[in-house]
Amino acid sequence: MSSLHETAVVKIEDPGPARFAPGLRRGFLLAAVAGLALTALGIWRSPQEAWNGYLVSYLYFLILSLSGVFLVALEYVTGATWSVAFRRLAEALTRYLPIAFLATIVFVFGFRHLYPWAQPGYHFARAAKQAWYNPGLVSARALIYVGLWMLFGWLFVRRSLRMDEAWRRGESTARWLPRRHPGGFGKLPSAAGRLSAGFIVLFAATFTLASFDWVMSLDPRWNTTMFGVYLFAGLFEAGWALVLLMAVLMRRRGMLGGLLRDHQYVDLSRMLHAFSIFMVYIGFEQYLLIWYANYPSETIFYHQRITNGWGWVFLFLMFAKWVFPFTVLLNQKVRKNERVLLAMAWLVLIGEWVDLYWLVMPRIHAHFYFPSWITLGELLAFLGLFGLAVTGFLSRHSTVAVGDPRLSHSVAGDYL
Amino acid sequence: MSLEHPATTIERHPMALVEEPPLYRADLTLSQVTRDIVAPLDRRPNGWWWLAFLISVTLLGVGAITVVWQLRAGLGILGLTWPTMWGTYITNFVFWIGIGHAGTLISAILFLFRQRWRTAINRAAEAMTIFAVICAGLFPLLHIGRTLLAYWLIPYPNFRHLWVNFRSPLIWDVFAVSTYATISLLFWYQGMIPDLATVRDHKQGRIAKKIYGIFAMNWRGTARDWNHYESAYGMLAAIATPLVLSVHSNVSMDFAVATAPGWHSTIFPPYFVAGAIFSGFAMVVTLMAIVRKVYNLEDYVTLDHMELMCKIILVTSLMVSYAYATEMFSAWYSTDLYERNRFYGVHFGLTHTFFTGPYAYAAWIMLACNCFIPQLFWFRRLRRSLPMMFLISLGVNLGMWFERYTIVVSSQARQFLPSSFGYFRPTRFDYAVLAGSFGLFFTLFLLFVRFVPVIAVAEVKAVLRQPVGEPAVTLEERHA
Repeated sequence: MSSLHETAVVKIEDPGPARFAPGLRRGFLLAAVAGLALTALGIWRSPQEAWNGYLVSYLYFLILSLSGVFLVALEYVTGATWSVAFRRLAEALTRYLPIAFLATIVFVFGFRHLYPWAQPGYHFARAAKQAWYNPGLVSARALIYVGLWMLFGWLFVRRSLRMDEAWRRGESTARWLPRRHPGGFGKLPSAAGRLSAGFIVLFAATFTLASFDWVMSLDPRWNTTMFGVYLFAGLFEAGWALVLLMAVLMRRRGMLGGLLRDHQYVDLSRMLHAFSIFMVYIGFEQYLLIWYANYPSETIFYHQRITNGWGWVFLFLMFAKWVFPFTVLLNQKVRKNERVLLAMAWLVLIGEWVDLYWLVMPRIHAHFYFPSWITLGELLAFLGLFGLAVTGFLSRHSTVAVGDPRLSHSVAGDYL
Repeated sequence: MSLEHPATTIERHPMALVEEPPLYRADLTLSQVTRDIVAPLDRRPNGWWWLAFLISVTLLGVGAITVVWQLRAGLGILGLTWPTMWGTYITNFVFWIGIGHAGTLISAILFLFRQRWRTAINRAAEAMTIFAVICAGLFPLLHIGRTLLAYWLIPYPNFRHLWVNFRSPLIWDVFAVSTYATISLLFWYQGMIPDLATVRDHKQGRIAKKIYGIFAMNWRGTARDWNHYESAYGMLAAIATPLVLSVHSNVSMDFAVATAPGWHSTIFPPYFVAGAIFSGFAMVVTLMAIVRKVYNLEDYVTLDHMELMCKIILVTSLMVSYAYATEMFSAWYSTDLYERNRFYGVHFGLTHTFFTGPYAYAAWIMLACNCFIPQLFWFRRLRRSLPMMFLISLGVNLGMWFERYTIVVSSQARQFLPSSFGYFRPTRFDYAVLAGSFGLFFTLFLLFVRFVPVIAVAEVKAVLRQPVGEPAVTLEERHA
């Protein structure tokens, strides 16, 4: 615990909005247009393949966007200082949620190509479950979940942008912060802290139900209680990786105005490291318990996913999401090395997409199947839309939450 | 710099600067800290201490006699009977192991997260961990029946070429718990060395000086000492962190690998870990609420510390509730008849659901104490009320014991066929051994507060001045 109080007051210079290379935005636009065309073609030519691929990429970018909301909420609810310097990057991720909402509306039309329960004539043994998986009800649930997440993302970002404006006008922004309690040393939670606590509780419930609806019910007879946590572990790990990736790429190009320091790299990679362990912990325990109990109705899930070539994907996941991030980032010295950080962040992000691919695809392809042009087209489409939303936000607003009164502490590393 | 708009430089508004509230009262001096914390060790214990000690030792005695009785008479004197062959001993084992988790979380994870407030409570919480693990470890040894052959659990080369069953989670427990006990003990002891030296320097009596001196391992408080100390501490913290997850995950697998309805659930490992931290923090709150009062340590274990612990209790309560809800939802969702019937069904005409069956009282105590009542901590006023947090934390301890009871006992008593249904009824021997384990725990804890500084003096000094922006305390000063 070193003290850095001499540097506590840091002069904050507004780095302003990011000016991305014009080619980047054009590239995203092109990817979106070309990808959407391929998606449309795919849905026309081979609907089952196309909708499964749609689910993979739709969910992937939804998860990345949600990780932004979650990281922001986590900062507010814990009153963290260290993450203020890069909070704007997490906020930018949430700006994809309105597009995700539209994508959810489209997604509803693919149900009958994806889910056995959405096919005419499918019957569950029990009436209650039949009712729960009424396609209309599932669609309504999906829209409510994504709508709620969108609402919270919007509220968090609005608060942050308002602070920026107040700061530019030279007003004190302290009123947004946790207040000191008159009777003691403790702090009163800020409005955002309360909102975040509410969000996290709501998020745990809705995200779990969504993961059951969208992924687990691909095989309606299979279930595991860990599933919501499994997808959440992936979300959390990929969230750190994406923020780290954006931080490195933007800092390299001088877009963050020198406000993101090395100690943020160290701590971001530490979080990535920690949550890669969390990911493997959840994945391993789920696997172990299903393997050990050896119920055919449960092992079928893993059996489909470790035989006929899919086992290599499973191994890849283990290496991409855990072995490499864990062993490489174990070394304290590399935690400031931008090239290593970039490599690890990319690996985890690719791993997360492959994880979803591995969860969804073996159901329609018994043998390992390299992503088809349709699946890749869909990935391209969502990537383009996601990139446009995120870079669009960052090129309109300051790349750092300059209005947050704790920014100088975050930059100076007072929390160390 | 490729910025569209020229960077606008605005001096930070001075009003906007936030000061972190200090952890401790501003006028505390370093020597005052030493005096306040070490003073109780010089005084003779008061009547309350003796009363508490007497009660604890009596309970311990009752437990010890019962254990001897059980060793002579056999496990049959307990409520154990087919089909419930795991009774309160296993419940107590899981309960005590869980209690121990707060210590490791505070000493390892909060340390890595740079939570400075941990300094006020880590010593006591770590001590509690050790004592809880001691209590926990006794139960499997007693439960195996032929306790004198317990060493058979350890794999070692032997003439009969007999090996333990490495595929059994019960054996994983042996490794997990013994590793946990070792690391926790090392961590606790290492953190104590500077303070033992402080006590050594303050003690007047020659014998006391000698004894504390031996345990202080010739600590001189030089920069070199501190250097080694801090690197070792960091490493132990890193080793202990996975242990927070692994130990209780292992314990959960004692159940989750089996196929009994109510046991086979993949969420068990993280759910048990959350439950362990939950119950552990509840125990820390219960104990610290008393200790800070009795030892006049309100300036060190402040209401803020207590409030933060209540927040952790709230968070872990939500996690545990999430796990319960997932289990209940999954049971409904599942295609497994037995899993569903455990919670909702009528099984071959016999009503025995979780909520209404013979174990419903345990289930409702569990839900009330673990899920509903801790929600009161959403209110700041209640989080900062000592009587309230004391009561709620006691409730959590009760609720967590009943949670384990529900899991261990009721799942065995209601398996697949009505012909193998049973009802477990603890006997007075079950209760006596449980009481004895509390006696052991509190006896050890009372001895701990009597002979060792309950608060990490050196660590408190290290963070004493930091938040108010004064220069940090130097290494030498910490030992003043």
